[in-house]
Amino acid sequence: MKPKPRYNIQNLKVGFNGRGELFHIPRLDILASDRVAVLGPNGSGKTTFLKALSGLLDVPTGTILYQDACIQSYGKQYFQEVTYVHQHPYLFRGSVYWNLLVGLHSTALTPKEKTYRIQHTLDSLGLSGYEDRNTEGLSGGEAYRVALARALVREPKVLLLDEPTAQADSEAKKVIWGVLRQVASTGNTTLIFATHDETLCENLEVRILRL
Amino acid sequence: MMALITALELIVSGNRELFFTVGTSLTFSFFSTLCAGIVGLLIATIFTLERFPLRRFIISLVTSVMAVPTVVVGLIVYSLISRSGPLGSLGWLFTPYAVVLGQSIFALPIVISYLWAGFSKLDTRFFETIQTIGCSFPYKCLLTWRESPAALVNALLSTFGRVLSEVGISMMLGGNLRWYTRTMTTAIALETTRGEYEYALALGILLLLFAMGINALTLRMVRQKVAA
Repeated sequence: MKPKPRYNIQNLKVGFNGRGELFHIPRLDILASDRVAVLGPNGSGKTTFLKALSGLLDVPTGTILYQDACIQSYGKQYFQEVTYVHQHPYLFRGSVYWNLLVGLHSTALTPKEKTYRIQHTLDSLGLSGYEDRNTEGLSGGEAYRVALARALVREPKVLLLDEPTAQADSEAKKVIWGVLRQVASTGNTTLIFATHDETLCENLEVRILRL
Repeated sequence: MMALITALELIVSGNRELFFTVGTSLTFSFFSTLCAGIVGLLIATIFTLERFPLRRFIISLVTSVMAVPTVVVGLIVYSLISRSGPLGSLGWLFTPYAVVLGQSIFALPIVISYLWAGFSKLDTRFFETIQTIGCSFPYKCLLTWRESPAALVNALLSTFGRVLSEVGISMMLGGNLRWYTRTMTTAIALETTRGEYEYALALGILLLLFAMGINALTLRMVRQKVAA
């Protein structure tokens, strides 16, 4: 039996300020175990597509069903399962540890479990020793990894990433590839990302969506 | 010149009534700012985080209420708490409670406007981030306040300064009663009409110092919070 898709997208059309159609997706099913790379030139609507999936943006035309129901019908529950990381992420004032702790605020974990999970996530992203670092002093690449850690620490069902390796140097790219490969290998997390990085697509053996 | 010297002497000698009046003013202003601050913080945060019908209209209305003269606020509260008013049974007229109530009502739109303006300067990505990491509404509020320390300091200190320098409400609702509800501004008005310029000038100097001090403190704290 064919598994039910996590996302069922039909006739999704997005336009911007009278500039006509930005993109049109007649039909797309995304399975729970899928890794989808969204490719396209600058301004083709990759971020808009991710934001539409994240629930941050209402789409005027077409439908996006998440596990057979409209995104809006889930209310706040949707954001417990789906998380989105901006290309230039916003980090809260304070330490790296605090940022990850905010990501876990709605979980039922004990403080000890939270500390363990935060530590483990930071380690996996090569951010050991960054716990007490103030977010103000981080480089763009480091800030992205912290934001990625904040998303991963929540163990979401769907991870939406905007240009995950755009600001990373070659070493950081390898770390991010490794983490994303590991996340994808579990089969529990749907990974959807916008990118220009073709090596990332090869590394993760992804489905390609061209806009 | 003589009046100025006498006024300075009054301040330096620590005139008891003068400083009692200053203390009364500061106490009233502190509690009014506190009451308006608590309510205003919640309202401004709801305006910032929630989307509901007529939101923009309500915000413009609150902002325009800032321009209402203090005597009008005093008059409205007076009609409520006067003996024949709906809250007359409380017996608050010409008591500190009446002044704090009136000043809180006067301060509320001011504090909301300052806070809303401050919160609105937060990056759009902040609002999207707190949404996508699944924050509950109370947690969103806490994060908004934590991310806007400069807005909080600016709103509270600026409101305190505005309340401290108002005269209409204190006069109408407090009655300018000596050793009880007399504030710096009502005392200045009274002493000037009585020809006691030295006393009025001494209070005027102190009021000016407080206003400048609050302004300097606001600027300093806002700079520190922004830099932090």
